[in-house]
Amino acid sequence: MAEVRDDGMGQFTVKQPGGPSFLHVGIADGDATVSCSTQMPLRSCLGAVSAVASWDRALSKNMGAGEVHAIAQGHDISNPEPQRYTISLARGWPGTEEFADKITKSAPEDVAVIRVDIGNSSWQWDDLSFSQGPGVMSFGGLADQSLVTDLIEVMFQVGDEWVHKHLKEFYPRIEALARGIETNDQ
Amino acid sequence: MTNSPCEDKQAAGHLVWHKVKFHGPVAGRKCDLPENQSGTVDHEFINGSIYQQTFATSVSTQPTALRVAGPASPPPVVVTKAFKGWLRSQPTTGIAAQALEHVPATGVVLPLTATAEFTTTVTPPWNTPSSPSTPPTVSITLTA
Repeated sequence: MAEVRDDGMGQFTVKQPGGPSFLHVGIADGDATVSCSTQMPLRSCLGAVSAVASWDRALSKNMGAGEVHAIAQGHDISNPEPQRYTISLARGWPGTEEFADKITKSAPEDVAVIRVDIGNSSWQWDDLSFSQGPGVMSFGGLADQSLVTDLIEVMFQVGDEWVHKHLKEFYPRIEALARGIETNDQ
Repeated sequence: MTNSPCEDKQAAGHLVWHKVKFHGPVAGRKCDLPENQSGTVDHEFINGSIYQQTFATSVSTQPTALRVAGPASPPPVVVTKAFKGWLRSQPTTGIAAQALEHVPATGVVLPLTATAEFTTTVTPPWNTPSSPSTPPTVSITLTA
């Protein structure tokens, strides 16, 4: 069972009824945002981005930068101001562990949420355990809408079991959504 | 940065912040609220995430000498995803306001410090709301 919500304007969500799992695709202003529930920690999600970028030329080109700008918040609510920092990467980082390692090591020990900007893409990992229950996390990416299928490939790598099942089921509809928005924009 | 006694801020996950600031009617002493007067709470909702977020807030006050003027919840505010500029993103913001008033003759001894506590709900596009575990508050001095 899945709750499906399509607002007809590029926002498409599939949600597990009564559960924490979801997948979301939003297309607006030339950008695509794709997000899903995950059980993977930050490092594994970033590792999936790196792995997909190592063989996906479009994503690799979009993420082509030697610097990562990150903003993160920890769970310590007495210090809600987010931390910003910049991380340098060596050339040819896709496919290496440098991307995931350096960002994870730079993040607060009690990281609750982190957003990573690299090239023309952004990635966000959220620990939702404080509001949604233990072990509930989400991971999402933002890039040019032409990369929606590349973003979905990353979600397929990091998504939980429910996400895997429903990404397969709804992939044709998501592709049609992306194509429809492209057509409407022309 | 140290907050003044009548303003506060709180994060709620998803790279969002909710800042509250009280503006009273007494010039130069913005935390004071004389009897029969009302002041304004400004809410600044800040979204640094890659998702559009909807912010809803409601207030509870104590003691009864301080109460909200009008609805306890201003209309929810939709804040677009953070703007992606040169190299890095910049947060986007939304504003809401509500009024608090000092009800006279409520049996309290003045001056008295009253508080307003805000319960904030942040909802991403997939409609799974979350709230900060410690809500933002403002402290207001009720005066004669």
